[in-house]
Amino acid sequence: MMNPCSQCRYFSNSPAEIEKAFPGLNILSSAYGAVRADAGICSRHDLFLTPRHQCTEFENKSTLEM
Amino acid sequence: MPEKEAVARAPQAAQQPASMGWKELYLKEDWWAIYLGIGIVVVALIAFLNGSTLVKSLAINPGGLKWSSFGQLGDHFASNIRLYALQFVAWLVIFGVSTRIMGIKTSHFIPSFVFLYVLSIIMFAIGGWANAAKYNLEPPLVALIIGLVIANVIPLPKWMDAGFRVEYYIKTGIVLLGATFPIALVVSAGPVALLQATVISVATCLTIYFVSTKVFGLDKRLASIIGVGGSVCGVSASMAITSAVGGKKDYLYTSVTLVVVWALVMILFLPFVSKALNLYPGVAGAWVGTSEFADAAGFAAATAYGKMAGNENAAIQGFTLMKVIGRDMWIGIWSFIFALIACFKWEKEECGTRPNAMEIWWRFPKFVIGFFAASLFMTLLTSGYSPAEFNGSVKPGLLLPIVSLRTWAFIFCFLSIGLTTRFRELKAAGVKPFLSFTVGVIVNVALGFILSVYVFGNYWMNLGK
Repeated sequence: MMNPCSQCRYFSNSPAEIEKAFPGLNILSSAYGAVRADAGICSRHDLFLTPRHQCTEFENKSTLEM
Repeated sequence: MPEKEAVARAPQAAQQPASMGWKELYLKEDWWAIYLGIGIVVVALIAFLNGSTLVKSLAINPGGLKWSSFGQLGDHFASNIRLYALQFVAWLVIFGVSTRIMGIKTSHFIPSFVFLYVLSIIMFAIGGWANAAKYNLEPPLVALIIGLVIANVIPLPKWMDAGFRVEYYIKTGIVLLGATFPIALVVSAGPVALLQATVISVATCLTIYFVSTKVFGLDKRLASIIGVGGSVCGVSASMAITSAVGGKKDYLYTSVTLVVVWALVMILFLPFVSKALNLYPGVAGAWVGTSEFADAAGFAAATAYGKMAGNENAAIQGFTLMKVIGRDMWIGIWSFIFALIACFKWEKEECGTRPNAMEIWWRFPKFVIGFFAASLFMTLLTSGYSPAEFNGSVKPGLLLPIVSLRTWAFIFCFLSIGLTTRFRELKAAGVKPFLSFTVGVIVNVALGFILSVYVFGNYWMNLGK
């Protein structure tokens, strides 16, 4: 069993960071809207995905703080 | 390791973390739009029932002045300066506090909103000029163009985007719109809107998808992202699909550019073509609702044409039925469908479980609930009044102030579209995605015109009467 992206150090779904990562996204949309739900960015693979996705290159968030 | 093997694997059902849960209720602008919209309606109602003119006074704007000299305009502001100051503080507090709770810096929001409010007053004043209509100075178009000029000529700091919350303002405006939108109209015309929206959404999405994959050989994920972006709800829908299929960041960025560029073109194209063809405002509203890509852009186009044609209400009703009720609700369903396709077809070997159907609810544009609630609430409340009482008392004392406050929210939005559009920041979309999307736009606009004018024209023609 693999851990979901939500617990991975490479995943971020902060709305401010998402709007920064996609200049122009806030022109006709918003990272603060319900439609985005809790999706975020995987900086390891440059993907935009839900925190429920999984991958073999998972690294726990806590390793970032060590 | 190839990307496909490493990522975007669907979760096992048993260990799927829940979505945001209750946090959504205070972290998402959809819910705040509901709280603000319904809250304003309730306060307006209490004031009306108690004979207070507070909300009516606070809903002031110079849009209806028909001034012909600066002296007249100056006198208006001089005699109402306190009301404007009070109104400004009210907007600042409700938007400032709510954005703070959502995580937007107040120190950035306040100066930005001051700038936006002052510009909004200028937009209203331009719209209130006696000769504005003669020169096509419709406030939505003027706001958009002035915003665009400022954003691309004057280097406004990026942090000012904190106050240019396009989506938040339009969602709040849509909930307020619900309060003046008869629920009977939703019930009677809603099924037609859903039918037309379904035909358009499916036709446009499939067109873009097949042109992208079969003609240009683009990646299926990119094809699905720009396909839904062009057929359902622009960037918001693209975000939903990108995350559902685990698409590349670049794909979403490409879709942002395509949607923004075409949406801006359509804001100008649709009202003026509708005018040239002398379309009924309701028909044009439905066409805009079928062919625009985002709520904010569509309201700008529909409102502009409604003003040109002298029946803003009909154009807004047609647009709302088609876009907000007919198309926006597709987002979650498309996300779920493409998540299933991505899981079972595109990456069959890696995926043994099914995406969660709750995605449909998690991605549902919740502000639509506020629109329905406001519509139902006000329809029930005002149904007890006779036509004479309604026109003599309810309309001027309760509904028109709400319409004015809605117009404020819309002007904040239209200006914000322009102010956040910095062309230099948009990513080059690439020729193939651009052509695929453009074919979809052509199909969408042509089919939307046929459906709005010839197939369902009789329904849309009667709006606003």
